[in-house]
Amino acid sequence: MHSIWAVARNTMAQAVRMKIAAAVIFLLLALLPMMSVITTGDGTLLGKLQSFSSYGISLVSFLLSILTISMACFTLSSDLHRRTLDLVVTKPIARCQIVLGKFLGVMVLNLILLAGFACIVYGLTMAMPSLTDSDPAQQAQAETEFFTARKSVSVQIEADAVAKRVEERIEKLKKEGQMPDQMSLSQIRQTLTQQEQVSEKSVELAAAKEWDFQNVFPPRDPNAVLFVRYKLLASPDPPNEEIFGQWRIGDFRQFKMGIQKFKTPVYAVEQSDSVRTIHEIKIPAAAVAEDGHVTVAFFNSPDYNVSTVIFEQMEVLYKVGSFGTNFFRVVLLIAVRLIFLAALGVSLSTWLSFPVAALCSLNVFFAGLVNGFFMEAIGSLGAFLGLVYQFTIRWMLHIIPRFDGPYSPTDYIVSGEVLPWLFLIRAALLTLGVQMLLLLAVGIWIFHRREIAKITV
Amino acid sequence: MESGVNQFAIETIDLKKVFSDWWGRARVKAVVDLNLKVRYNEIYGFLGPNGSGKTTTIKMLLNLLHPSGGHAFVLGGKSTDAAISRRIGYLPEESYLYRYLTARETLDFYGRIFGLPGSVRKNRIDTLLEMVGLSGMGSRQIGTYSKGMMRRIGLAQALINDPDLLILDEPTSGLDPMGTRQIKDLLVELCRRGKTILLSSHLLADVEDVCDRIGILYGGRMQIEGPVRELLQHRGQVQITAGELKLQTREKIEALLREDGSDYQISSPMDKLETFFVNTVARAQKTQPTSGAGAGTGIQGFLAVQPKSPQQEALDRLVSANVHTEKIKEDVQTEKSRTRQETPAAKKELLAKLTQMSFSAEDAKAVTTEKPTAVPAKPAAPIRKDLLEKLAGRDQEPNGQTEKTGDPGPGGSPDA
Ligand SMILES: Nc1ncnc2c1ncn2[C@@H]1O[C@H](COP(=O)(O)OP(=O)(O)O)[C@@H](O)[C@H]1O
Ligand SMILES: [Mg+2]
Repeated sequence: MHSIWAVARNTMAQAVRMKIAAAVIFLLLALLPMMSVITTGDGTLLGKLQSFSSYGISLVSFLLSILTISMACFTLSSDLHRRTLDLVVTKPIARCQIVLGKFLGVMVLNLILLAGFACIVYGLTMAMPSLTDSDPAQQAQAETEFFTARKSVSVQIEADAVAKRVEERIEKLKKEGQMPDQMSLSQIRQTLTQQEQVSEKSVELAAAKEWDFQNVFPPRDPNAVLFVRYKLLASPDPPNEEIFGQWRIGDFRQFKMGIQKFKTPVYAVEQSDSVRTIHEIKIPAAAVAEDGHVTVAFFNSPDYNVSTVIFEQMEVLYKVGSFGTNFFRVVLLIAVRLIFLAALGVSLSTWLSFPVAALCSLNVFFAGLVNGFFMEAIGSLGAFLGLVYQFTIRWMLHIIPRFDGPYSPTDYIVSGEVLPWLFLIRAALLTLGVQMLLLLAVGIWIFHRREIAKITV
Repeated sequence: MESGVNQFAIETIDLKKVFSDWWGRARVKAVVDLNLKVRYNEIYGFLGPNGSGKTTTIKMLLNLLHPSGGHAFVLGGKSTDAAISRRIGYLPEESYLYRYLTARETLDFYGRIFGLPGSVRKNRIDTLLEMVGLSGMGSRQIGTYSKGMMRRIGLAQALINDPDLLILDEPTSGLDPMGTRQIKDLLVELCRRGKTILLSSHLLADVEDVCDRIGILYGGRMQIEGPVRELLQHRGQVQITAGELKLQTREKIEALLREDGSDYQISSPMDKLETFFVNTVARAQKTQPTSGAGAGTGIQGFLAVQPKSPQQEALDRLVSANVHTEKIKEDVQTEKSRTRQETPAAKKELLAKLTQMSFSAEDAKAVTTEKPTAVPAKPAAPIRKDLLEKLAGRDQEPNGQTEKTGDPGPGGSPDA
């Protein structure tokens, strides 16, 4: 252990004395305070907070990822290149201790930096409400929608139901002999599935749609609130870019029993919303039934609207924790990413030169950033091509950790959404406990067999 | 392994190294069937021209390169074994040190790898820095050091664990004459304390004074090997060394020799190992090609006839001034008597040389069986014995030392 720590200390000294970390540190120190002043968002306090925290966290996590990659790839390969390792390996230190020491050094330094910059972003965010002049309503909005940690519940699109409807439509087309000749069956199925998925999300003019949410358990507190968060599109585009919605939110099962016997209230909200923007409706949490059931209904009234409305996003949220601890978990999520990248860089540089190892690491990093997109794209590819990719790219994407979607740290903070401990732990176990250990094992194995003094030009 | 393994501090059995290119085609035969044997507690001079495979052999001993064939044993085992590498000190060909660390941090880093506790580390670092003459410069980054200074830190680094076996690859390259002298004195002193030293070099003057045995490598093959004295001694020839001779005296001697009917040659003595080295390499060149730098005939001639430059002579005089201190005399005596059976005549001559007495006629006739440059030079800054003592962690009186170092024979195993 003392050997590993000695190598780790040496690695940190290298990064500091060779000014590898300096560029990133100065950039962040200059950019973060400046951004806190110049970001405005949509003009409200909430918008300012959201855009600053979004840029701040993305910037910190991106720059530290790049720094981790370059440090991790540089340290071992420069030691090999400058032959300083020739001397180190003749000492009573195992090869794996050298690899682990390098990894530890890169990791510790970057985690220290992460902790420092996370504190800066946190401090600037917390100071923002008192430093900007905003009315109490805006302050309250920021408090309930940003300085919080909310759990989100959404309605799963019922894939089985969609598939069933698609098959019904295909049967019908076949019966009527209207199957298009120029399309293969799988292409037809794909097109119909897309159509059905859109129709699942859309509300025609003069029609209504209900979303049934299960397992919604806001705190049993008279002041507790429930948020309905949505984003809508309209086709054709409405003249003023707005849609007027008539909403009812509550436990609709009670309608059968007659209005006098209602245990929980049903709330009515009527408001006009701009399209292609995320909006939130705030109602008392009392609308949710005891068993965690709540229904949200939307009526597309022809009196006000002229378009079909398509819901891009629809979820309900309620507060489950504090902003501080959620921020902490988000930082841990970034830490998981940095630790993985440190292991990746060090492992690759046991057998690749610095530029090659750095390029490979960057590729993995960027692939991780678009991993979910790739997976979806491959899933919807045609039969043959899909099969080819299935056996090449797909398994590679599986061993690469995901940095997008639910693994992206910013979304949690921006939408005030809770990052559950369980999710964080599962992500850490998968990324660090499986993928990273595998990488390190391969790197150590290669390094163990390597001729250190072999000249490579 | 074989019973022989434990007899030697370093043993290679038919060691081979072939460097191949990317396609696996053999490019360079750097080491060919090398059987190197270094006994415990001796200084072994590993000689050879550039590219003869010295560094390659050393790297295979230390598992920096994997042998293409054969075996290499160090201290009776493999150097990958931590229990063995713990007892080795290695100074590479160039000082491959972290340029961004200070000298003190460098030594601290290696000390930590050896798991030395903090206080021991600090003491050793102070002692070593003082010993290699860099005590005032410990907090400077190594990148700012001159080559010779780096070399000194490299040596200090090799001694941080008080090793039983020192492997030094051209330790004196880049060092000034004083530094060279200091290192040589240090090596003798370490050997006296029971260490084993493998010293690779192509600088013959370095090796000549200190080595017990030498081997000359050429084209990856061992050309010749043996104790320095034996190799350099011409049998069936007698050399008479004398001071300035009067012309008549010289004529008289020549007349006597003519009368005797023997071949003779009168010249000033020259550096014998150098001649020997050049001849050995030349012989080898006739029979076998090399992968390293070829010593063209021009260079050979150059080496053979090159007279010493005035500066060099001045330096020689400088570093060999004050040879007659009592201290040195004692040291040399103990050192010599440990390994060699002295003939009384030789001993007398040695003593005479040490005290710079003029030779009497009888003394001058004594056969020189001593190492040619056995005159020990007083180092510019002598190795401080107390420093060495501290390093070795021994704090006994000077009397105890001679006993101790006289004890283990050349074949004895100090790790018993
Ligand atoms: N990594 C290597 N790849 C190819 N050839 C090498 C390598 N290292 C050494 N050699 C060759 O092996 C020979 C012996 O080199 P070396 O052991 O360094 O000689 P020296 O006796 O000067 O230390 C030289 O011809 C050298 O060019
Ligand atoms: Mg060499």
